[in-house]
Amino acid sequence: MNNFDVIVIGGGHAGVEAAAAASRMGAKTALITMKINTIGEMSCNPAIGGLGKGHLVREIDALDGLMAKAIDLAGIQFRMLNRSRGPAVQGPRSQADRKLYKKAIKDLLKLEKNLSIIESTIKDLSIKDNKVNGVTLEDEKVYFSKSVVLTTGTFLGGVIHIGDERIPAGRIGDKSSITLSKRIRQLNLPIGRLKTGTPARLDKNSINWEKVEMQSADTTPIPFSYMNDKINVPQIECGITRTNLNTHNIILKNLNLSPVYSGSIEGTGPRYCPSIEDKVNRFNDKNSHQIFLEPEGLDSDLIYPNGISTSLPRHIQDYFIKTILGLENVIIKQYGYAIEYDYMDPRALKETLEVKSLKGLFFAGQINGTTGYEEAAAQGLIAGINAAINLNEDKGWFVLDRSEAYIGVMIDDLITRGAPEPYRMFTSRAEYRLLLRSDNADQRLTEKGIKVGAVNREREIFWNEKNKNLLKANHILDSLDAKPNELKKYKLPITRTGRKRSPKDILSSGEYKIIDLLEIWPQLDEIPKNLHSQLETDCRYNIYLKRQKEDIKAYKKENKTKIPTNFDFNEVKGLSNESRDLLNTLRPATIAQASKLPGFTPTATLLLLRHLKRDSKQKIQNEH
Amino acid sequence: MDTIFSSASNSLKSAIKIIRVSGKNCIKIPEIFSFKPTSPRLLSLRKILDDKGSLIDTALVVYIPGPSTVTGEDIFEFHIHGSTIIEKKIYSTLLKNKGFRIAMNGEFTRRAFLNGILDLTQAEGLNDLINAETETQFEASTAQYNGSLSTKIQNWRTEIISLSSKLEAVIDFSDEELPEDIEIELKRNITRLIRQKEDALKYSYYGERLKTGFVVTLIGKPNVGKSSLINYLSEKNVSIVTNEAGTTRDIIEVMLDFKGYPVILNDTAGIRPPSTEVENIGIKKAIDRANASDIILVLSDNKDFSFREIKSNVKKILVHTKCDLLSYKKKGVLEISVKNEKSIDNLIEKIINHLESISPKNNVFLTRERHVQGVKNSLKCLKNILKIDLNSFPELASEELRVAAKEIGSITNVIDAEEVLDDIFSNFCIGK
Ligand SMILES: Cc1cc2nc3c(=O)[nH]c(=O)nc-3n(C[C@H](O)[C@H](O)[C@H](O)COP(=O)(O)OP(=O)(O)OC[C@H]3O[C@@H](n4cnc5c(N)ncnc54)[C@H](O)[C@@H]3O)c2cc1C
Repeated sequence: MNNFDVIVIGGGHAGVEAAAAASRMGAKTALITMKINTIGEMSCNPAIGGLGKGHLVREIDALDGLMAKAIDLAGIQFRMLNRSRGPAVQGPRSQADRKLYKKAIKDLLKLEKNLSIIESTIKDLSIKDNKVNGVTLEDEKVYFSKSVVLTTGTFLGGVIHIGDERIPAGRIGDKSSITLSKRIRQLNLPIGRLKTGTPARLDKNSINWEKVEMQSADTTPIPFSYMNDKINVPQIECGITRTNLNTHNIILKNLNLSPVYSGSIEGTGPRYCPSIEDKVNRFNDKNSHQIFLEPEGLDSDLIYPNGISTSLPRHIQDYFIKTILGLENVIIKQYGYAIEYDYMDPRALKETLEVKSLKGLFFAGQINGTTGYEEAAAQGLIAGINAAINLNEDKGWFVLDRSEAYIGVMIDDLITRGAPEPYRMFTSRAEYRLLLRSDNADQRLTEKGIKVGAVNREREIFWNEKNKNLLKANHILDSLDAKPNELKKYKLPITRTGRKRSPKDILSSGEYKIIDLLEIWPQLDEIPKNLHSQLETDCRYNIYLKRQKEDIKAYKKENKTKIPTNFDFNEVKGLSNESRDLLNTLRPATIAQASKLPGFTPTATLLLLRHLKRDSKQKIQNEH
Repeated sequence: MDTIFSSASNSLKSAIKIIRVSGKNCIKIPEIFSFKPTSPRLLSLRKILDDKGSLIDTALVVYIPGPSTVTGEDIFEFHIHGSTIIEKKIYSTLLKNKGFRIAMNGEFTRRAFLNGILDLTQAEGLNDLINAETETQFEASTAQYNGSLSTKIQNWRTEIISLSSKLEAVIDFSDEELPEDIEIELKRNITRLIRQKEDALKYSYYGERLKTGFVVTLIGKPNVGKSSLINYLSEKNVSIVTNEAGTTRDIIEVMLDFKGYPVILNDTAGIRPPSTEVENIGIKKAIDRANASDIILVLSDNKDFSFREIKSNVKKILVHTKCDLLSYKKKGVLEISVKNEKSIDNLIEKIINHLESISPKNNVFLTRERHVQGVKNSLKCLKNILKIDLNSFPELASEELRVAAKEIGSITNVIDAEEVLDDIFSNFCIGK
């Protein structure tokens, strides 16, 4: 009864994906969390997706995770960002109805046959010979398992700041996890402090909507999940308003009352999510900043004012918010706050998200120094799969690399560079961005997911069908071509050299669609309509992809050049002290990782590579 | 690793010759040559004996323990009298000992690089320094050695980061408020960067020429005095660096030092209406060679300087030879006489003036094929960007920029996403 294969601590976005993934993998799994009621809670902005983040959600879906399916059931304002730009940088995003989202997650978890959900606070981890074997609950009960996934978010050592008030909490309304936090610190893991913040929540009915501009959803919402072809949730509008000089003056005058500026917060905050104090102070040449007024749900009276995250004292928040157009008489339902919390330097993790020094213990989510639901969920998924593989390692670990997925980029960044500030996904972090698109995550990952056992039967059938059609379509596209005079007849472009051209050649310019080619090649009619845009996109990027493939080959080779775990970096001659220190503290596992260390020069990479090569040659010689 | 040695000065005759040894076996040298060990870093006079006890030379020697040496290893130097026999004896004595061998070409530099004494561009600069044959070559390689090439490439690197950050901001923060003219600014900056790189490439051939020699081709009808001018220049006025036999039976090459500029003089077959097939080939070769040179000296002993086959964009100096016999005083024509040694200095000066006028102002140019390639490749990508509609396909422009960054990064330092993000966050007010 008290024995499980995998125990997941925490029911946030990382926790639910980890638990569901372990269960899909066939492991007997327990999800233990403080309050069953807050499973799937969105602590901050009720929205999923965006640039880079939307890519993560599609990848989670390709591996049969929950997030995409849940937001498709809860999204109340779908918008494709960068819609007018190329498919590689389009990112799906949607506002969420908080309640609908939580319900969707809970319903999806109920479908998991191997999963038990338990409400309790974990006090302790049971560790023997550097190996985890279970957890202790608040009532001192002990549950045993071979793998434990820790996903406690901002709860470890969490402290909320509003002005000079300091409240120990995991997020507003939730206590922080103090005992577990102390215990983690004893485990000799590298723990640091980070901070993040959230704006006040406003009463919808106290806003003068007449005065603000409105923004609506896309007319045809595009679902996140590959398995869905439409959205049934009603779509709503958001308001847009702006700060003004009056607002800025109040904030600047009271800057010293903000805990960040008064020095009572030491943790580093994310630069891409600055508080309004930061924005006004750092960019004081701007007279105004945009604010989105986002409803928290279809029937909710709460409005999330996106853009004015703050930790100023309550009366100052009242004061400056009322200077904003449309908010003159606003009622604040909950004040904005900053939260400071413990995180573990993710460089202590393997690429499987297992702690290097403690067998069977996995970390995922905000505890690893990331922010955002999507980042948390993606890690949860990978940790959950590997926690299940940990029962039977012969299967081989589940690892995605930088050329396969945004998930791979994120985990590689985390474990090689750590998180000097809260880490968020951006498309610019992915060097193979043209390949890692949100439209082709299933083509990149689902097969891998099926092989490792993380994908349910239903999606497997769905994918096999789609894959079969894709193969057939590509076969048709590849088998056709036309001579210049034929092309001319149909007013299609010819080349100067007068070569024959295939449909793929014509589509690569992006000026034609498959339906434009039906006259010259009627056989193209056999290609299912729902694959057209996918195939057109593939053709559009093809020339770039060829070039990237070369890079990827080189990267994979570097990634394969492993540095032995007990390697003595002091042996490498000629390294500068900085490079040597870097190597000694970070201990990269491959040449690819070493070459990406911040400040590590190509020369240093070469020296290291040469040393390794010389070493391995000597070894071979010695063995003979 | 073996201890390596080699003569540090070139193999021609000179009063003093330095033999440099590098590696951990340097410490054994006093014993090998039977002299009293010297104090580190102190130049001391020693009697150098061979393994049978007979004297090789009395010479200054110095021992410099690593790692703060040119190669990062222990160094030993013999400053022997400039005789090939002494040199050979030292070589053969060293070779009788285990762990010593003659250095391969560029091996000292390679060890310096391996030991982290030099970065890659610096190592290449030093290699040129060692191979420098004339003063101007030397200046170019010392400029690179001192890092001015690195500085220039660093500047490009910074520029590319700032370009990327603008482009990435457009992509990753499209729902934020960005400056409206960001795309126009982007194109403007790319155009500027393209111009800078084109300039550098234009001069890169100059760097190449500094190593291999500027080409000056003499052209003229038979018997106008081409050979006597060449003979005169190579024997009297300037020192011969090399004197290779012509690669074809019709073109004679001579390598000369014109006040620090290495110059290859080409003597071509006389140009006249061909009478035989063989002559025809020779004349065609002469014209091709002339068109590929830096300067053409058009020689004539009468008023006619017209060679219609010669391309117009190569610098030409019109030279009226044998002015002792007949003087025309034609404008723009230099009159010389080899026989009377008249105005030959003027001719040399004209050549040097031209070479100076085409030299890059600040002495920084790409002297290495690898750098030229890197800059060329990145230039190609930047030019592609100008063809892309930044509003609709910023990701394609960004891909071009990524490759451009990689190419520049391969010369000095990799550019990574974090640097680009740093630039975005410090320049734009991003985030809700
Ligand atoms: C105030 C605030 C502001 C934020 N602002 C932003 C933002 O602006 N942008 C952005 O992208 N992201 C923001 N986030 C981050 C985003 O909410 C998180 O990154 C994401 O929810 C992290 O997911 P998680 O699964 O790691 O942790 P969480 O969602 O925090 O979940 C942790 C779970 O662990 C449980 N738990 C904790 N301790 C125990 C224990 N001892 N025993 C049992 N259960 C336990 C909790 O009950 C909870 O269910 C913010 C978060 C907060 C709190």
